[in-house]
Amino acid sequence: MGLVGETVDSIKSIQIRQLLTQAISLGMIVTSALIIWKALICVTGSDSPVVVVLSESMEPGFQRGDILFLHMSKDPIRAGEIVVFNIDGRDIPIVHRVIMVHERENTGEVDVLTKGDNNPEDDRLLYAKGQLWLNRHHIMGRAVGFLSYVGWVTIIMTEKPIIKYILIGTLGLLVISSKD
Amino acid sequence: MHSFGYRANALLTFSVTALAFICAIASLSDNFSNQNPSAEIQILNINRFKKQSYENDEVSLTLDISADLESLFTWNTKQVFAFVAAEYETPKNSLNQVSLWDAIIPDKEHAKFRIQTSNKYRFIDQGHNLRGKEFNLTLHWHVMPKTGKMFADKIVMPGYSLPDAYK
Repeated sequence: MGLVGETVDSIKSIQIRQLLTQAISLGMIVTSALIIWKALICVTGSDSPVVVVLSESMEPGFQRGDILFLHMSKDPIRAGEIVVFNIDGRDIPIVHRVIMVHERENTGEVDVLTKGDNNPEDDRLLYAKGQLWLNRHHIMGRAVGFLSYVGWVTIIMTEKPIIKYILIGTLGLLVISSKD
Repeated sequence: MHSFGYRANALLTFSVTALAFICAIASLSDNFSNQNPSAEIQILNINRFKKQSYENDEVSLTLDISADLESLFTWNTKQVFAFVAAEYETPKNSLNQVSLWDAIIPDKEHAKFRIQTSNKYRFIDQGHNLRGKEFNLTLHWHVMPKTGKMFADKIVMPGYSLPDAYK
């Protein structure tokens, strides 16, 4: 009874004002993270300015768990560039290198073929059925820089969602129980 | 103020900031390196030049590629990806680039090389425009750093051409 009574007392002693202040600071942190993310999307011109490398198809250059910084400009797509693209019907973007470019005379439209450095064959097997080339609208960005190992956090949280819940749960508990 | 939580938080923030700073500096240092790579490509032989059954021209050739890319390697270089592409113009397409051969150069010791090889990837046109076509062979290189910004450049070697008739 004593333990329960103490817990009830401590809950009652949380002032409404303090709770609101904490909620607002939490909201501010989340909102500023969102602002930074959207600003990055704007500046880099790509829907997804940072991606995590998930497969070994670009080894030894890009290992699983590296993150890539993307940039999309109106510059024409040229052979050798490392591009990130989406295949219709699949939601995971692929990061491979362009090995063939055919650019139309007048319209500037372009047919592109890609291949992973570590793959024996080009990507036609990965494209949608009957698709032989990629076009500009498939491409989300060019890789311009990279950092190793940072992406492992995302990979672990996606492949073992339990860790995500544990993390959020602990953070929530910390927020509630801290006294400032 | 001195609880474990605060200290751990401060330590973590500081170390992440310091790491990010070091990565940025490492990347910047690449801008100061002097680079003067050189290369030469000869076409040894046109092996096959035909029209595929579904109407696109295809060429198979043997190349003699020699290059010295040692100056591209800095302390922040993880590997250099080099490839040779044929570039040409056709009535329908203002630019065609077809990669013929590529290699990953992992370190400075392997950066000066000479090889004779047939094209690794098929040289197929969109159409049948290749008879008598003049084209450039370019050697491109992409430097992939240990961290930071990647950069790329190329050497263009003009003046190659294909035979006027299928073979």
